[in-house]
This record gives sequence, C-alpha cells and structure tokens, in this order.
Amino acid sequence: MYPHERSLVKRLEGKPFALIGVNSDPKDRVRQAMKKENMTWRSWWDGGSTEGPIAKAWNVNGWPTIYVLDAKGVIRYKNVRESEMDKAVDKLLAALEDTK
Amino acid sequence: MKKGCLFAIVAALALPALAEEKDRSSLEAEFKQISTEYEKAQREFAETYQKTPEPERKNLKYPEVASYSKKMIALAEKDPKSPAAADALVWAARRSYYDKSVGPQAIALLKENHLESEKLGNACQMLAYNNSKENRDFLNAVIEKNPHDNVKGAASLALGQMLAGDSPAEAEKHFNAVIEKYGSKSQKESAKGELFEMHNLAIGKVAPDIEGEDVDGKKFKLSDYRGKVVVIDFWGDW
Repeated sequence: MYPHERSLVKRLEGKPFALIGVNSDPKDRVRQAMKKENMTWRSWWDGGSTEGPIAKAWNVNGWPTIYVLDAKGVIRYKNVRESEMDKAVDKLLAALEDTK
Repeated sequence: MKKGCLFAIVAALALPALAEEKDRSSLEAEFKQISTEYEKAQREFAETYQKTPEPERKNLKYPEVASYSKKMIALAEKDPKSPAAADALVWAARRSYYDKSVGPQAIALLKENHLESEKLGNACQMLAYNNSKENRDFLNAVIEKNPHDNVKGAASLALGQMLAGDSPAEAEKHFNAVIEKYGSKSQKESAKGELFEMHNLAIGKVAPDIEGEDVDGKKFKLSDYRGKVVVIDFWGDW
C-alpha cells in the first residue's frame, strides 16, 4: 500500500492532484510510520483511534477506506486500490485537462 | 419391596435425562476444544509470520477455517437442538465469509434449529459481506421469527449493509427498522451512520467538508483542495 501511494504521488508531482490521509493511530505511531515509509503527503490525525470524529462522520468501519474526488469535490470512486486507483485518478485528471 | 420398586422407577426416569445432560456438557467441552485449537493455530501462525523474513511470508499458509468449521458442523449434527450446537453453528456461520464451502450448511442448520436463539446476533453481523440467497433468506427469517430485539437489530443491520449497493430503497427500510423499532443504542447509531453514507457519501455526491489537524496540530480542510483531484485514504499503521 505505501509503496504504491508513494509512486502515485511521485508520478503526479506538479499535477492538480493530492493524496490526503486520515490517520487512526496514536501520535507517536503515525510519526514513526510517516518517517519510516517516507510519506510526503499530509494526513489528518483522527484522534488516535478508529473511533475518531472524521472516521465516524464518514461511517468508516474498515481500513483502508478510499474515496476519490474530482476537482469539484464530487465523490467519483470508492475503495479503488493499486492500479485501479491509478486508472481512476488518471481518468479524472484527463477530464480536468479537457475542460481547460 | 415397595421402596425398591419406587427407586427403580425414579432411576429409570432420571437416567435418560442425566445421560442427555452428560452428552450435552461433553458437546460443550468439545466446542471449547475446537475453538481453542483454532485460536492456537492462529497464534502459532502469527508467531511464525513475525519470525519469517518478508519475501518468504507469502509461502506461509494461514490456518484453514473450513476444516474447523467442518468439525463444528459435525459436532452440531450429533444433537442439533442443543445449546452447544448453537454455539458451534454460530462459530461456523461467523466465518462463512472465508469458507464458502461449509458456511451455507451452518446457516441452514441454524435456520432449522435455532432461529429463536439469542446467540444469533453474532452470526448475523458477518453475513453482511456475502450477498447470497441463503444469507438473505436466513436474515429475513431471523427478523421475522427471532424474539430478541438485539438479534433482530443485528439481522436488519446486516441485511441493510448487504443491500445498500444494489437495492438502496430496500436497505433504507432495514436501517429505519433498526432506528425506529428494535435496535440497541449502538445498532441505532450504526444504522444512522449507514443512512448518512447512503445519502451523503455515495458516488456522485459532493463530499462533506473535512476540517481537522495534522499530527503536528496544523489545521487544514478538504475544501482547500478544490480544483484538484483528491484521493482520501483512511489509514492506520497496523
């Protein structure tokens, strides 16, 4: 999971794209993971447990849970992983290019 | 003579009941033994996994649930109406997602023998992940026949989750039943969360804004990212 996300973020550097995490670990654990896995993207820290306010508001019961939004903030895909995530993001970026 | 006769009658009446009780308690012991064996196998797997270097981990075999589920079903078939049979079948039903070979058999036996048991709540929850006709029929039968509110609640919640993708109207009916009729406090909360997800977090909806802080206390919002394609990843390092 981390290696794929790292390469996705790297590949799309400079494009109108952002990967944002919502993290459910205690603070020391998330700091350690971000450093060890060389995560360059941001995460909201959700209070240190899976019962955090953001996970609750988004009814997240399973991890990881993935949402892909277009540039207008509309939810376009859910729970796409790895190459599926790449395809989803590439499609939305291409569509965004076309409207310019 | 009279006394002896009475004793014989009492003994004749009591013995079968005693024998049945003994059988049932040995079934309970057998149930505990199988579940302990499975837990032990899982623990040993976790230990081996930790010790194995990463490239070889994929060759490790996870303890096969189906073989334990088969033992549970065999146990239940010895005395299908007994409480130990209910425990054994619930055990297998809870794991039916992982072993599609024997799960349906456990569900069928539960439906036949324990539809009114208050132990069924635990079985219902896991069925949400497998939208099969057997599972749907079972959950509907539980809602109709089980007298315990928390069990009905668990069944409705599971049916709702199962149907949310394909038949949202049907799913909403089940979630509303949990909220209005028979859910426990936490079941009601789950049902409300599911309804919120259906209404506000479905594909095609504008995502609700997120406001929060990163691990260093810096505030930022999802709406700061308008104009960009965004992947939101709920993650944990476990």
